[in-house]
Amino acid sequence: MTAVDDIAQLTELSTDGNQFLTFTLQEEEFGIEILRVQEIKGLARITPIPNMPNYIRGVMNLRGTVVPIVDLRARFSMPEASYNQFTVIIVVTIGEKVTGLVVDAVSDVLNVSDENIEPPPDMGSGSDTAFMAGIAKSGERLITLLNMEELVSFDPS
Amino acid sequence: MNNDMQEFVEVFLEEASEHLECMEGALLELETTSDQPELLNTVFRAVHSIKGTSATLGVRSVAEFTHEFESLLDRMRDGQLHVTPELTELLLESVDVLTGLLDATASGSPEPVALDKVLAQLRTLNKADSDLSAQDNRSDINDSPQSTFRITFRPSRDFFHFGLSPLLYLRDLAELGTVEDVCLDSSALPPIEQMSPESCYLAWALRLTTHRTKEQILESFLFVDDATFIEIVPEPKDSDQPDVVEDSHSNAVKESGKLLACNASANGSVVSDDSSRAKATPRGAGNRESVRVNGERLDDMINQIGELVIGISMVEAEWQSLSPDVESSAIVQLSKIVRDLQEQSLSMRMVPIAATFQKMNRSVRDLSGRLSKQVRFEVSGEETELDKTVVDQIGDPLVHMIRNSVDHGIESPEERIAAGKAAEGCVSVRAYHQGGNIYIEMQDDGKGLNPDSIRRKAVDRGLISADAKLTEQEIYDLVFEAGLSTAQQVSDVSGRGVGMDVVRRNVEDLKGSVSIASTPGQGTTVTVRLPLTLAILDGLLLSLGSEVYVAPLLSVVESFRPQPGEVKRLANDMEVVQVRGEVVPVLPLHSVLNVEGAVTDPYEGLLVIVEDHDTKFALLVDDLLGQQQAVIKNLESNFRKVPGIAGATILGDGRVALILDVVGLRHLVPSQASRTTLTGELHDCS
Repeated sequence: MTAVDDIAQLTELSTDGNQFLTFTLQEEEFGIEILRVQEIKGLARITPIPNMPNYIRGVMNLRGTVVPIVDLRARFSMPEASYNQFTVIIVVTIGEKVTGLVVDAVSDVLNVSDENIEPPPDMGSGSDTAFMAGIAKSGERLITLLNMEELVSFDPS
Repeated sequence: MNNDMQEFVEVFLEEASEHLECMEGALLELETTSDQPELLNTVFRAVHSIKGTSATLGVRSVAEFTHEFESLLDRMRDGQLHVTPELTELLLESVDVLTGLLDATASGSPEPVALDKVLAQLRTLNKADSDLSAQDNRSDINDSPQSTFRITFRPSRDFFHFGLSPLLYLRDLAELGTVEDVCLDSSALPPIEQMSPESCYLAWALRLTTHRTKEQILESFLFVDDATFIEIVPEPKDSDQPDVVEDSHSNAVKESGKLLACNASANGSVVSDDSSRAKATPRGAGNRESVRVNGERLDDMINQIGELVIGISMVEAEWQSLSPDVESSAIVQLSKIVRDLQEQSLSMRMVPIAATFQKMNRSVRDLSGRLSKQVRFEVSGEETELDKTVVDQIGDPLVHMIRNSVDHGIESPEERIAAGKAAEGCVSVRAYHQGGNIYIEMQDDGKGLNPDSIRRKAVDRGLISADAKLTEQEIYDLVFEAGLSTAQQVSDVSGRGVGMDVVRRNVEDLKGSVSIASTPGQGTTVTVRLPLTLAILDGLLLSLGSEVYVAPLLSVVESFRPQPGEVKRLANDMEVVQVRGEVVPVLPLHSVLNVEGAVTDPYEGLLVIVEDHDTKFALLVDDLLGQQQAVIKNLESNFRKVPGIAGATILGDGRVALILDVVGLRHLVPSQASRTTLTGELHDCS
């Protein structure tokens, strides 16, 4: 509980110089607030959960905790990649829940100041920008920042 | 600081609720026992400690009320008032009001309505007696000569951290008699730059002239922490006990050892003293010595130990693969220790069911009085232990059922005599272990259920069709359906028809079951079966494709490989198998759970017959892998509820296996028509 408060407070304090962990999915770059990241893990055995959307790959044993695993390629309807020894799982904390995200590869940690973050583009009602928190510019790179609450909500819709 | 206060208030409320239970239990016994002084003392101590803490924490409503409450009890203790049913009633009402006040403190709900009335009654009684007690006091003084004590009171450094204030103790002492020669000892005071504002450096010495004994003075110091130094020395001039007695707090506790009966000390320290245990009369839950531990931390530890068990299984497996022929005695021994440890850790969650039984007792007492029925309440097996979660969730439903028994089951004395029974009815409840389960059996010798009346009601409410053929047992089971109440008259006690179905749902949520048996004219028995614990489950490991699933062993009846021709396909693609003449639908688990690569031909796999409420069905699986105790992890904590899945567990090899929810699976069958048509077709087929 306090950890979450702390995170909220810290993110607020470090307004200039937000830190993001960036990773790639099919050549595209994405970013997650670094304070949400609990750890980065190699692929371990995943137990599928029956009758779930295909992006929910199943659950994994993370030192005794049962953690759901979300495949971000599948979540964004990208072509599926086969899992190999380079596939990594970013373990994130969202509220009180812990979730693993399968990504192609982790790139680096990026400092982005506030003025280099743009709101998500409004593409009309046709496109879904709900899980975008914004776009970060860093030199030539454009990084899609993800809104984790929207991205990983497991309530049956 | 504010947060700290909040913490204290929470601990206080938790303790207070234990005190309340303790009080209620003692009060209920008060009417029937000869050991009144001891019981009154128990109640007095409970009230006193609530008063003390509430005053310290500034919960004024509670402090004021308990003050009056305590005064009345004090008079009773001194024998100025005698125990009468009316007085007991008032005391019980006071407990209720106090419960209400504490709830109000906890949740900010309005103060109980009865507060003013009860408070007024208490005040009148206390006032009416004050003249009398004034005389008494005088005689008291004559009886026990005043003596003078030299008291040294040196609070510990951490005194404030326990939410204590030395001033309150000094004030308490002043109430006991005449305080003179108060001397402040500030020698321990450090230079100001080294001083911590949250530490207590002061000590006091004083002379107290009182007609109380040393023990009674010590009672004022009951709640100080262990490190606080208290010395009470009688001045030889007035006293005939010249011996110098030195007491630290632990002695104080010993002196009044019975305090332990219902009080875990405020700072959560371990209190262990055999002599005091011997003194305490066994009265169920209230009397055990206990350590207060945050439930979450306990669960964390139990989880960790669960991990340890998995860890050791992994070590075993690895050793097996490295040297299949040699057994490592070290691993065997370690594994035994770990399993013992796990058993012990699980037992820490267990609490006796006595507190719930006590609530029932109160309920029966109040209700029988209100309904002018004579009811005797019998209890056995109250020391039976259950998982705390189970007890918390099952308490109210059980009390509800006991109310039902008194309200609907037991007849009025006239009716009973007319029926040739004793005027006094009997409601009994007993708890016992049997085969990994706890059974709670509630029995009354009342008029029993009336099958015709239930049937008529059920038809009226549209629960069954008018021409439905039901056995007597099936009719009784209708009692648990929503919207069926058999009370002839709806009373405020029970009979709104929301009771029994809630009871059943609560019990089923706990993976238990409830059944009812009745003989017209002779009474009704309701039996509730509950699992010992929710944290662990005996599981049967099933393999399905490359996955492993766990079925709760409790619901598994048998398993077998069907002989060719035994499995028959019905018109709607439903497969059934006959087991000793009984037709059982087959549930192809792989298709329900969407598992690829599993056996689809029943003759190549195994059928596991599972049972849910007398409805059986057969799960088609690849193979059985064995039996294992599974530490249940719920999926909701990081994910969400999954239909057909009760939770997950971690296998010996470290991977996660899902635990099947047998009840939920049945609802997952894709093409399954409603149960009635299914049974219809089954009959055709057989």
